[in-house]
Amino acid sequence: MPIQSFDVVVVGAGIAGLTAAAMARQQGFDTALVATGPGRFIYGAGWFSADGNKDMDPEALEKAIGLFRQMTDEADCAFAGNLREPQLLPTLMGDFLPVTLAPFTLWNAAPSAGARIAMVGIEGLTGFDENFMAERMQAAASGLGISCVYKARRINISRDLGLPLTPTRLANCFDNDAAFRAELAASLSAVAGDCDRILLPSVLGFQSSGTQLAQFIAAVGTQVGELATLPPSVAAMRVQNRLEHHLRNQGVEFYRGFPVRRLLIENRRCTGLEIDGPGHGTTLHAQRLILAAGSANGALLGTAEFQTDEALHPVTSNGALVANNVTLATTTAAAQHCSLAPLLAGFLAGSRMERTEESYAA
Amino acid sequence: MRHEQENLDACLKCSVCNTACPVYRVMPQYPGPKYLGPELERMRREGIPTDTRYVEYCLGCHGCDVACPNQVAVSEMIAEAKATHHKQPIEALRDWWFARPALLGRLLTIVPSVSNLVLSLKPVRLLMAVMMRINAKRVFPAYRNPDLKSKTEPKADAQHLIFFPGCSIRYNTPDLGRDVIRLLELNGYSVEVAETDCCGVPALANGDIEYARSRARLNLDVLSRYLRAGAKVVTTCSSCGHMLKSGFGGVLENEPDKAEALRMLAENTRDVGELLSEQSDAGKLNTNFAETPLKLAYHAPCHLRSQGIGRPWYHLLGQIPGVSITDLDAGCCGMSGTYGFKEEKYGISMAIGSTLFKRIAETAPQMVTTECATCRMQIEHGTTLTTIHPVEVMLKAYDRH
Repeated sequence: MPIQSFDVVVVGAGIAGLTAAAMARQQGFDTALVATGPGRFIYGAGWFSADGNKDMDPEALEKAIGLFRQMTDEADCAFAGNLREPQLLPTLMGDFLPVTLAPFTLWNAAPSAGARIAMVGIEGLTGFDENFMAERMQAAASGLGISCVYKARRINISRDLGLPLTPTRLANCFDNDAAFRAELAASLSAVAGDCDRILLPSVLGFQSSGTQLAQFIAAVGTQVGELATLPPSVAAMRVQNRLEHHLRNQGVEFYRGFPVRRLLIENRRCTGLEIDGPGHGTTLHAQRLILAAGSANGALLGTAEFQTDEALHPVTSNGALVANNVTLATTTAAAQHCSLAPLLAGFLAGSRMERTEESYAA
Repeated sequence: MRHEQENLDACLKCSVCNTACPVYRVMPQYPGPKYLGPELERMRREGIPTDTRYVEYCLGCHGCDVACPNQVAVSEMIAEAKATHHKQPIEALRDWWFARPALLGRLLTIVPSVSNLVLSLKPVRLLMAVMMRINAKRVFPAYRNPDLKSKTEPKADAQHLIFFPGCSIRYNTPDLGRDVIRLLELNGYSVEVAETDCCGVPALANGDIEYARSRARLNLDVLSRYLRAGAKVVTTCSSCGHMLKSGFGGVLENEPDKAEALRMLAENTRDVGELLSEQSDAGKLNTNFAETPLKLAYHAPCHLRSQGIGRPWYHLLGQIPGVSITDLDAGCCGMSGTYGFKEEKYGISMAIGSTLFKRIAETAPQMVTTECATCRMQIEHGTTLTTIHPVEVMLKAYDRH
């Protein structure tokens, strides 16, 4: 089996894994990331809800958010928000959820007192009805005492994008076709009318950068907010794509699509892992391993019953250290989906990567 | 991505494959890998007739397989369905030839100069567009006398490698083949060119699964002899590499007597980049590079991504002093072997490629480098830049020394 060598190997391409890999690379480590598919982040809206914030160490959380903001700025997929002032954002179900951090296009969907908000539907789009959403959001806002007005509007797409028309198809077209972006901006402008904000389902591209989105909003001439779509959420996928692209550019090597066969642990030390591949697998040697595979961490360690010690190393249920160079980026089972827990876990694991003697020698 | 498993039920309909599909990205009518793969597969397995019109448009890039969080072999299901599609006579004839690049190569290299002249004549190309539905804007690769003999004597103690050149090197770019041999010799190997046939990827892509199977049997037979003697097989074409590593196993899965030979081949096949990258990690790479000022952009072919070996050449070329290399990371180039030549698919091919061409323009390199021969064709067609195999870059850096 061929062997490739790295300083740090991270397992998992969710927010925890991406954050840990970014930190490893930032510290100059030769870093690889192994994952089958994207992580859980893309099955959420693309934001971090404020749920569960109170159960996490605020000081560490502040630092983790600072690092994440820096990372997303560099990847040109800027986030908005901070720990102290969560904001209510509309969900796909037609209610509000307090959110700590969101891509700025989702953040723009927040209601405010006195605002007139156009809820824009797209002719033929499946799974979204602007009348229903406007009515639901109006009721939800009234219930919370927010005096904004939602008005249902609809736009037509002149080109044939196939049926059923999905957010994925619209997002692809947005990425590919400058004429489509111009047409969409003009249509949104035309239906904005007396509204000071436009909300539409998230269709503004899988690849688009924050800079491009800001230009698009400028072309519309009215503030535009995106509403999360059914998974895979376009807004979340955009963040995933941009972060992965950014990390690749920074030199992180991705082994995507192939499961880990086993970790190579001997005498409480992990020398790396074996991944599957077509034909033959590959052994990835590592000085340090970070497991950020969510619920699969247990399977990787070969035991469902494990804990972590103070240095975040895995420890079996009877207290024995599994390996002193494996760090776990885990969230507790109770952590809410879309919460900041994976970000914090990735940050904490990424912070525990003091240089080992071996890597100095190398 | 594991074809050993009967994993239809592993599809959770999450649609991540659709977001990774280059065709779905540009072709509005295309139903996408989720529908054409696992969803229609339920019907196909029950023997219920399904519409096969769109399976024809699958690139076979494996993007869906790699993206799937549950390792469903989406594109393999689509490739098998391709074989059941009933083509119009013109397309059927054209695709019969497209499935057989080695046969074409043998015929056209009898008198290469005549072949090249005829294939470059405008009236011939216009006629081919009408009669064979091959797009007239495409430039056919030039055919050359197959000559892959090494000009140097390898050292006696050198590790022996068997080079599987693939049809492109054998019939169109034998000079690249000789470069590969020299590069490997400069790294202490001795290289023997295997008398192999086409790997079968073009046959699979053109819906001729039986022909692909016959190629797999033939090549396996030749390569097994070397493998039993302990040699490793190296490839430079990422599609050949993927086929040897896992495609042979797929098409020959019902031939248990071949299982051991298939296992040996899969275990001992290396992309040249993969091999040298391993040497580099072990400190054994010949790093006798001269300062080579060059701004390069690297494109990772789909069939390299689907081998799960990272980006060996991106890191190897980055070690050459003076070389600055950017990974374009702009997805599929849209060529997919013979796909981009087809009249009805030319527009789709170029629309997919446009993202890559745009990224290349933004990066403004002096040259582009990529492992795959048809990716190189597409990049040279869509941009004005010279596009070469990474082996050529590395060899130049040795030669300048």
